[in-house]
Amino acid sequence: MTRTAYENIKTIGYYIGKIVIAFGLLMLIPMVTAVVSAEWNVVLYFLIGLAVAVIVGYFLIILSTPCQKKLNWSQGMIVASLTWIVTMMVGALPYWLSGNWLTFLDACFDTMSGFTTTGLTLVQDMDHLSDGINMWRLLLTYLGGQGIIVLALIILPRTMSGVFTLYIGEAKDVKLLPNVVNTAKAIWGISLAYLVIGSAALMLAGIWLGMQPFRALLHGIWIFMSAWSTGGFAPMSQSILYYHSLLYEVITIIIFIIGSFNFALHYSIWTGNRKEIYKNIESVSFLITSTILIVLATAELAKTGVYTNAAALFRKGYYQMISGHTTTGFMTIYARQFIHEWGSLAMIAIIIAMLFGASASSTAGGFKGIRIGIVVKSIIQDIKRLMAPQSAITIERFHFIRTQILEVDYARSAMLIIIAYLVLFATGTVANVLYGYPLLDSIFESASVTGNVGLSAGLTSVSMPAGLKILYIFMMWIARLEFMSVLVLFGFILKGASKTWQKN
Amino acid sequence: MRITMHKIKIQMSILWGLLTEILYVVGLVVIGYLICLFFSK
Repeated sequence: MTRTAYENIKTIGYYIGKIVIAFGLLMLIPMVTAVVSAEWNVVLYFLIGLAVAVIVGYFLIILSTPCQKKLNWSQGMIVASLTWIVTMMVGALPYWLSGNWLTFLDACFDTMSGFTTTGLTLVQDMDHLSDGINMWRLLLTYLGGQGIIVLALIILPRTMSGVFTLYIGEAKDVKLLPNVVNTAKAIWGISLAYLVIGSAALMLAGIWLGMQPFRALLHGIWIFMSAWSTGGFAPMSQSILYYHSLLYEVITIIIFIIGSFNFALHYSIWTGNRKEIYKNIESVSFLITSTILIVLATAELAKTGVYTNAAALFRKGYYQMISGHTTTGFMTIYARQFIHEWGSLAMIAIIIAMLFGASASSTAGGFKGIRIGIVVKSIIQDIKRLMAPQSAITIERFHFIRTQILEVDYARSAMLIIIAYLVLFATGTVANVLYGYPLLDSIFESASVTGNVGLSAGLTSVSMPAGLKILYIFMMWIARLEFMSVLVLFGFILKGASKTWQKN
Repeated sequence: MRITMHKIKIQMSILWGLLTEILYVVGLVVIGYLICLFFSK
């Protein structure tokens, strides 16, 4: 190994070590929940998890010291992508120890599903999980929605240098404030403000439904964390259907639509630029695509007579469409109902909705509204150019916080990422079919994994092949980080491997 | 005094921002319900 490669690995190890320790400390939250609920075994699982996180992190720091503390571009990207894998393994420990997950792979699957705000799960007997484990599941979703590194920037701001690349590597590309640490604080400030409001609203709804106050509080916090992060995990196996409440459904819809907004949009509105919500390319794009897709889906569902009245169409059809479009994954129907009851057009609409996703730099997944908007605008620009005289110059503009001229680079970058998502979606579909699953189920599940959605046609289960579980973990990871940082990691590994090969 | 006024202005701005977002989304949900109402038999 060359000296430069060795130095690179040391710097990467140093930063991952620090983030793993910070991540481990978060296990104190489910530990406190377990203490309050007198779940002493669960306290032990989290103590072991915390100890492993601190030991692994400490060893990584010791082995990497002394090292160059300032991160360069590629190191930042690699730290961002590898952190998600290392924390996935550490975070899966309490799951695995609890015995609610059959294998360590299943526990890793659920941890990555939570981090990436996907919401697909392989847990056993979900309805009888301990409060501590449930708190960890939903907390992981909440952390993943905001970003693990975004949190680390707040916990360890003084000890990290060159951190903007870490932030970019985690697919957050807007700077709300000139300083990236202050940006991270603003993101968490927005999320925590909504945590208080949303959890209180859901808790009151829970009490109104007849829950005990403490249970209503826990369910309120958990469902909020999942809805805000467009995650899709729920404490009960029936997801939102468990509550059988229109009120609960409306509150969750409001939370996950707001959660799917770009953090830059929140910040702009909160600092007085309230008209931004009507002009922003992402909110306009979401309004148009969601309306078109909902019209298609509800027309089909009404025609086939699955849901006969407006209330049923709203609670089953509309809810699922918005849950898919915002990449949340909450369900008010059973998984197999998609395949058996939804007609072809409604299925096409929800698959497109899951792939489109919501906003960039939000908690949501999918192509993202800004890319859809930019591609549509660039097509319009090309049509205008074809229709205009040869000497005419056509300029297209889009509004994102400020009005900007649509440049060729923006369109090319948006197209590249959309193509990458489509390749990933096709790979998942082909893999599902090769493992023997029906085509429609395969397409639906692959769209759900690619868009980090979490709606399921029933394909994701404990009995699915291990190879498919590993592929899904990979798909959730690379889709959530929007390819770039993971590709840099692969480039780094391949470069190292090729140099070693040449030496031998 | 000036600092207090500034803080109140920031808090009012955040509150209006929250209300704007919630009202916008409630509007979207109402549009969704109207679509369902339109297609229901």
